[in-house]
Amino acid sequence: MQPYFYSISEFIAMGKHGVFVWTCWAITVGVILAFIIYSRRQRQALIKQLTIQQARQAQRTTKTQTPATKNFE
Amino acid sequence: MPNLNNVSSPSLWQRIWQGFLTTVGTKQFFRIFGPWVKWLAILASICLLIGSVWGLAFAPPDYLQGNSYRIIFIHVPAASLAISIYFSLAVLGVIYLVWKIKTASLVAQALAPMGFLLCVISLLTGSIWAKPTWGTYWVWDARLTSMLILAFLYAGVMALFAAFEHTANRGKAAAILSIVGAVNLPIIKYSVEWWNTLHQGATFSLTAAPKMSADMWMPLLLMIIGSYLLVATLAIYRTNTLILNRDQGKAWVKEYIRSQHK
Repeated sequence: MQPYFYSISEFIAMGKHGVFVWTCWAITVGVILAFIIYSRRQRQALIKQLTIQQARQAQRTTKTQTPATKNFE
Repeated sequence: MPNLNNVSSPSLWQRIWQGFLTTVGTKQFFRIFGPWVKWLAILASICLLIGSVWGLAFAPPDYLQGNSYRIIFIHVPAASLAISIYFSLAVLGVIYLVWKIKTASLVAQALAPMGFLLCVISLLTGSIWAKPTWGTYWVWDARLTSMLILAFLYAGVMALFAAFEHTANRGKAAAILSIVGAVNLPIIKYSVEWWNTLHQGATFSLTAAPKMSADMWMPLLLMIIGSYLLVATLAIYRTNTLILNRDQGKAWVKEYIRSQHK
């Protein structure tokens, strides 16, 4: 299989349509990557928040509970 | 004898139904689909990467539109997904309202922003493509207008999810709008046949051979498959985030959070 374009500059120019094609690809890739990063951050933030919550709860229970029941973790 | 049995214990059908309901619970969804994310993501990236390079660099140009037609490789998958995702929002809405399956509502909530973004992408790429092809960025014809309405419907569904997040009825209003808004879908689909329009007809259908040559439709098919896989990946991942948030008081979530830091 042969690439359709003979050179990189031809590939970028795409006749007269390079601007249109590359703008579309830039928008799409940008939006999708941003959304993936956003989704990952959301998950990480939630896990962090729940971890802190759990640590706090664990602290509270160790303070109030007798030594016999505290080492369940 | 069998009558007595039937009265005391649930019927086979009821038992199957109860079993099904437990498998679509949030915990089971998380356990079953969580491990899929990585593999689906890899598969999606491979399809999209090959499809992109093939479509951009190897596919021949269109004899009428020249190289501008290469926008099809993102425009068609995005538009197709925007419609499919809305359809699945409607189906999930019915499932949630009729059978009260919480997971359905969460999947819909995870999908809605993706559908919105893909709808916007299809509108943007479409209008950029329109400039060299039709000579204008926008015309108020049936296909474009109904697609714009779809974007507004998505925005409405997302707003309703957000507005009722902290109430007992969360997800219900969004489910109702999803179902009602689905009347727009056949209008989008058949707009190019019912009205005179600049927009071309479908490139692909399940029943007919593709109307373009193989080195054009094969990368397009790869892009469509890849983008569906990508949406599936993100849908699972985002649903699982919502599940962790919703069930944060449950023991299995606490255990999962603990396991994340070992």
